[in-house]
Amino acid sequence: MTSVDSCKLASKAARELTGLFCIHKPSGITTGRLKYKILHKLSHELSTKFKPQVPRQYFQIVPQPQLSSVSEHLRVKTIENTVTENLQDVENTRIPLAEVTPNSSDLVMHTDYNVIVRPNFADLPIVSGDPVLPEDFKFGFLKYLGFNTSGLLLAGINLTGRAMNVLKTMKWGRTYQVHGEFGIATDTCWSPDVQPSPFQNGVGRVLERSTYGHLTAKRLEGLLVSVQANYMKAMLMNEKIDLESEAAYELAVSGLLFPGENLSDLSDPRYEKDSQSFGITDIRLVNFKSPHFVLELQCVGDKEEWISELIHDIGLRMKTNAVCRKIICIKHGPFTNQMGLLQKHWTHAHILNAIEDANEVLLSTI
Amino acid sequence: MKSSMVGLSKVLQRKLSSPSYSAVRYNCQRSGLNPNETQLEESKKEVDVSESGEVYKNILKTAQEMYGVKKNPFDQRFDVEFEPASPRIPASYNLAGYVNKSPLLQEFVRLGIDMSKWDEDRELVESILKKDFFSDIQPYIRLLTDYGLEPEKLGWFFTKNPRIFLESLDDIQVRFNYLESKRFSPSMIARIISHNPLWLSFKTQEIDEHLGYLQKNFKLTGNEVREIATRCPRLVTKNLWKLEMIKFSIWEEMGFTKEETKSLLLKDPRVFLIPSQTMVERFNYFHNIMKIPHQTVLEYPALFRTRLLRLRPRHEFLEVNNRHQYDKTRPDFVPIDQMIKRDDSFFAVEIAGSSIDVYNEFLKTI
Repeated sequence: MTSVDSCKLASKAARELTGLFCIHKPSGITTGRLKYKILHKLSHELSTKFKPQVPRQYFQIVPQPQLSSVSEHLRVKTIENTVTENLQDVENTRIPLAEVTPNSSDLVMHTDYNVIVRPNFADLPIVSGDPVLPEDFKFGFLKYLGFNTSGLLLAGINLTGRAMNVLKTMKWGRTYQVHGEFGIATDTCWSPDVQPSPFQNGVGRVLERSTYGHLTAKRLEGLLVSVQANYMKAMLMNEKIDLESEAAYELAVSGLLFPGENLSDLSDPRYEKDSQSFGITDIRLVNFKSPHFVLELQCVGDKEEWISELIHDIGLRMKTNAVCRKIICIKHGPFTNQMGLLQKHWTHAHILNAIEDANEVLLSTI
Repeated sequence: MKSSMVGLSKVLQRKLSSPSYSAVRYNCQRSGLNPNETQLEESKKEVDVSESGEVYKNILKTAQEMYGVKKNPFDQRFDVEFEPASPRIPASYNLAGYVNKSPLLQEFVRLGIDMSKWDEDRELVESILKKDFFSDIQPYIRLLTDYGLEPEKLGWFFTKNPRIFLESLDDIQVRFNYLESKRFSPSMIARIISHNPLWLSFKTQEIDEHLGYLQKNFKLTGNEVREIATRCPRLVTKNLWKLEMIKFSIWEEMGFTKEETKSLLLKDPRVFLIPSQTMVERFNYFHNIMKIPHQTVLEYPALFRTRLLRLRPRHEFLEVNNRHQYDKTRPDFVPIDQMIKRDDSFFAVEIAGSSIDVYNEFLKTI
């Protein structure tokens, strides 16, 4: 395999990776660093697979000026040495060729042209670098996850901008599994055991402690129902339907409610939440063992900060304090957590399999 | 792609099909350097081009017949160069454009130096290209091999530290003399060079400061300083400000005594190469959450060098299986060495008592 063929194969392999696939994001990294890790891993792998083994040949035609009197004979010689491919035996093989001479008898400057054949050093990866770079891949996430959230991330390799926009118009909702703890309030709304993110204004210092013995699962469920009702009401108001009609009921049951767009003139991030770009369609209590609890959230247009603030609000309404421990994204539209690739599986072969699995799911929805 | 392969435009094809350039392959590459600065002497020859065109055609024919090569002059499988009529070397963003013309770079290829990593540094490359191998570079190779560097490692050495060619031989000799005066044996010096090529770019004053800092702050004897310099020569070239931060965090934030830090240093000096912030985060996890006391940390300093992405799920999996026992005194304890170092398959089967599939499913729920 020559260097040219290897470069073509490498570029083909880099372009064959096209499609959506699911990643399992571990907690404690940003999504930007994830992208860096995946692309560097892939580029290293492909450049080692498609390393050129045989460099091209390099023909060099060199003049040998010679002063000579009239020479009317032709000098034809045979090949003396063959071409070598080893770099260690780079002896120039000289192949003298036939000479064209004039017929006059005057002094003429004759030149011998010799052809030197040797391997082309520019094809070695030592000199020219890797054939596949991380910049050769087009990579983009459908939606981001925060620093401390883990779970499903959908990413597209080598997809055009139009394909990504089509996928974004689907507006798939995400379900989260939120682990929390009652009795503590901190700087950030995360527990002090959790690594604080460098982008947050907070260190995880405990500010308040409170009792939680008066809590029961029934009271919590009642609260969650009222929270859900408030958000559903706000989403239905955007549709401009009578809240007491049957059409509103059917919409709410189907789960196709979306929050309104951010139409406020104020572009302050403090008011983003109030302008209803965040909508919850379902909250449920899954587990409750006195300070620790587990919720399942189904929402659209969310950010990690708003979910942790939600839990802080829940704690305040129950007359205690609450704090996040874990946020795990379980579902993103039709995709589930089990399809996500772990960090040790971020390789060429595994990603191809993951793209096939994701395509099956996509076809079943359409 | 970063290879030397290029596609030719139609304008160029027309130009090159004229009789003067009938068979010249003109590698077009983006210009990053001024061509006048990097011009080699061979390309300065100027020869009448009118006569050579016909001669060249005959040469090409015979070469093609001999090797059974395609008659397409733009065949990408071989490069042809006609020296009397070749154009000047165009500017290139890569050293691959100059390899076939300069014997210096060809000797580097024989040594095995990875020149693709020098491409980002323009001044370096400009100053190295002007040198001659036998007069300028071979004395450096002789010096290093005299002091014990293996010839197989020369390539690796010069990829990591090409700036050694820009320093005078006297300075390097002075640095070797300093090491000999401080009673470093020749085997120690050989190990230092072969593991830290950047040592020789530091001045003797700076290295003296670093070694003195280690001796004073950790109260080491002369033999111990030499031992650490040979085991981990990268410690000696580390920034003193960062070393102070690490020392501060170990004394003040983690609560180790001065004797314990000294034993840590002597047991595993690579711990002091980790940035202090990550060290504190890791210590926070395995002291406060895994409940490992200070003494076991001193026995297993490899805990500092494991990433939390690896430690945290393993600890939580052991918690789920009720095997998170790190005390040596109690039965069923888990040796921390094997928990950290080995593969996931070994960990899941022998230490946790279940299979990899269960472990992989567990990882997706974290």
